[in-house]
Amino acid sequence: MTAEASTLACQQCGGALQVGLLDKTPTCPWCGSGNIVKRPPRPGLPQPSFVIGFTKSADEVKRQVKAWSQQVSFWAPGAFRKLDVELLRPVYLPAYLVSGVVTGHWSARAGYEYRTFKTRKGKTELETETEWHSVGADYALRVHDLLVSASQRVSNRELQKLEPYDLGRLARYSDAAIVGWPAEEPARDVDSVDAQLMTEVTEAMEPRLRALAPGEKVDDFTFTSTLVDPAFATVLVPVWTMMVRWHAKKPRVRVLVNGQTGQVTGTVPTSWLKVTLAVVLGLAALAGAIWWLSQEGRLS
Amino acid sequence: MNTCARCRSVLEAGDLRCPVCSLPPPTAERGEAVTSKVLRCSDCHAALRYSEAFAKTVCGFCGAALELEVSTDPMEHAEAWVPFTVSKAAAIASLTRWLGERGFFAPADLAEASRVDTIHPVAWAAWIVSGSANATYGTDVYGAGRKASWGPATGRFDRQLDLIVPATQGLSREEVDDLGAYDVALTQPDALPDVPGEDFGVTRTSARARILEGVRDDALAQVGLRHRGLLRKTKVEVMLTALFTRRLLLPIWVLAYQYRNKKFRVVIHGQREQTVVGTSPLSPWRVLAVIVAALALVAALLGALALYEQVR
Repeated sequence: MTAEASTLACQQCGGALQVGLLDKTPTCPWCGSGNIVKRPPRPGLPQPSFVIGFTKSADEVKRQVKAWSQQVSFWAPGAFRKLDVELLRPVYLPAYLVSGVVTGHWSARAGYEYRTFKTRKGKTELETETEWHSVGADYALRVHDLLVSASQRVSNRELQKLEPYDLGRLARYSDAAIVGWPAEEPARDVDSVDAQLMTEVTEAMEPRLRALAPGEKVDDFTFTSTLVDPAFATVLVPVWTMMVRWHAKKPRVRVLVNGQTGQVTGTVPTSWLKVTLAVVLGLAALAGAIWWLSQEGRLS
Repeated sequence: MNTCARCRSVLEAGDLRCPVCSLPPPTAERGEAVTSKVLRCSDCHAALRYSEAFAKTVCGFCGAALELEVSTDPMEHAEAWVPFTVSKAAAIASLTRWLGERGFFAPADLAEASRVDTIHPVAWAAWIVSGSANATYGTDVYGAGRKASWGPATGRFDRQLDLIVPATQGLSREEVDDLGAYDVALTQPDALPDVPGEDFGVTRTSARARILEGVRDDALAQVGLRHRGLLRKTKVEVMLTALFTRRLLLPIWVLAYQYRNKKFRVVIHGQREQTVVGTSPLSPWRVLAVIVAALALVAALLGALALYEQVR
């Protein structure tokens, strides 16, 4: 899908409004009014049914990102802890809230211990052995509220790192819920999110099915799953996007923040200086240990 | 009554999605052309903006706010009352009969010496759940192993639901189970005269969680019936396929009786006088006599055994 622009008249001042194909709520450059664009239905792209409103302000988000930068991995460059937030921008991202029935079959080996006398080299001892049974069953279970990104700009993997959203605060979609805030139209239709959806289904089903396996020990657990008759509801979720600058000569890093909970995610750079120093120190310690052991015939 | 387009379950006022299958109701179709609009305040006509501080859309000029339509979670209230078919006199007669049938350990004069202290009708709160569910389970069964004591059992079954899930605070789970089923075909929307009705006292979300718990308990009981014997680590996953819930107030007679200055409580089903649930005193002399007889029997057996050893 290409981001073709079209021109509409601002409904506040009549000025020309450039609207990208994915822009849902463009702001008029002439009067600053928030317009809401209505488009005809497109096949495979359900209209928004729900919205989760922003509750985090820009200032709160900046503080949250600063706090996150202090807690990143040891291997991150030291300068990353003094980052500057740039291009901070809120956006309502489109995602599919999927529910449906998952059918399939699970199987495993269930082990039960028992005590038995064993004779080895003429000596009889009481030993514990495991009796294994093949178990499994067909199943049909319902999955609710799997959230899959329908956005072109934020991948499903990134959205997963921002979850969970409190779906108890779900509101029915209305233009009033997003007016004045940038919002994106769905860019991925329901068929094109199949792979991501099945990954989420598998992740959701595994602990539930594994819990059904009987036995004192469980081994060789496998399962198949097919999502039957899924219902897709489009939901607009609040996300703050920003670029963070941490070094004058290094590329900026994109950071995303959950606009409802403040959960932060981003790709943290690695300090190759720290990694090299650690490797050199490790090698030096190893060489020292070998030298010490080789002295006075300690190393045979 | 709105129903879900997919599973036909009932959608209640304030539900944004189906409570069983999560399907949202269809949204209105859009026009054919790309257009834009600006939302204006209905009071001062200024352009509106959603406010993250208030979590609603507010007018920056006059402060008017547009509430968003969110899922509501109202308190549960009874929709109908199930009338009594057991009269007060029949309940007292039922208690007298029940006291006379308390078995060997009850005092011999229990029925004659007991005196009814209070008797009053009460309507207790319950969800009457019908519909269907599919359960998948796994469990350990004692005796199902080859060499080990325990072995596995797994399976799946369909279940037609016809459950009473108690919302009551006044009756214990055991009392509810012992009271059993009610005929809820005949109900009345108006309160029964002079009968206090119990309040449900929970929100819709809590109610749905309790109902689901009731359905899961029912499935667990079914697993117990399918595999006779001792079970452990039974895990059940239940999928509701249809759910219909009624919030009813069910009739009981609550009686308190005295026996030798001690009070006991009894509950009698408001539709079946023969269903009596309660406690009654034990005769200490009879209990003592049985213990003494048992000890004497053990002593006699040991004596006989010792005599047999001597003779041999």
